Amino acid sequence: MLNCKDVSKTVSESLDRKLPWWTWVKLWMHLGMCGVCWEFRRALLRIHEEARRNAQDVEQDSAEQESNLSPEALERMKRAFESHLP
Amino acid sequence: MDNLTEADNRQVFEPSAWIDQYGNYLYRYALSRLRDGEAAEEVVQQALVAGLQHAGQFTGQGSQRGWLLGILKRKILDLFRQRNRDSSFTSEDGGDPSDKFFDRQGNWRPELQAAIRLPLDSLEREEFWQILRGCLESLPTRQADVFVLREMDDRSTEDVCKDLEIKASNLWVLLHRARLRLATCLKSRWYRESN
Repeated sequence: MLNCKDVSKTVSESLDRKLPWWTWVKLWMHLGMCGVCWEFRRALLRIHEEARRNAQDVEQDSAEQESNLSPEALERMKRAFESHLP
Repeated sequence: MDNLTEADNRQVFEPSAWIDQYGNYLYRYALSRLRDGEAAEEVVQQALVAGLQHAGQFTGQGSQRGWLLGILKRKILDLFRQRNRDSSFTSEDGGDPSDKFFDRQGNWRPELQAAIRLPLDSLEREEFWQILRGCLESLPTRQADVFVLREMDDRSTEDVCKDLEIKASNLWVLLHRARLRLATCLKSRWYRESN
């Protein structure tokens, strides 16, 4: 039997590789009986989904939260960059 | 007519306008991956200078923003690799955090169970990310870096191992610690807010 600590590790690994079938069976036997691990697994899946979505939003410039350069940082950056311009 | 439209769409390659046009975009991207304003500013600066030095390689296919973003991504990866080699970051990992979360029998610690059991379904996307973001910032640097590469950038485990020059077994350990910390942090904060 896997304990909750083993399950937390196995659930994480299941996001990165195909589990050996017997490990998979033991994982699901535990998940079927343990409400805490069940919700832990669901949390990892949601984190996985939201992380990917946010990364894409930022890349496509459609993220809701915007933290821009401060005016000082912008000036600092311009000054430093100008010294490299031909 | 076609030629005219094409000419209209073609952007002038004008490095002196880069900071005004793309500075904030590139900064937001770098900040989302590096979680630290100072490091983000620095890496954007490096990317812009590199863009200037390699201006001859810009083919005009695609946008300047996309081209600069490609350079920025490589600079961020370089920084991750450098941090991963740096012993001050490797020692910061603090070993196995399992004792904080599990008792000797390997069960969830009783004080955590109610929080972890609480589903996150009613947590709206915006707020979810806001809390997760705060939790990510509290993670040891290397754990947060592997999380960013694997979960945000969706890179394969093979690629992350190559990026950071680590073994797969090492990566699984780092990812497990990162996810365990993130999930418990997120759940605890959400539990406190909903009570």
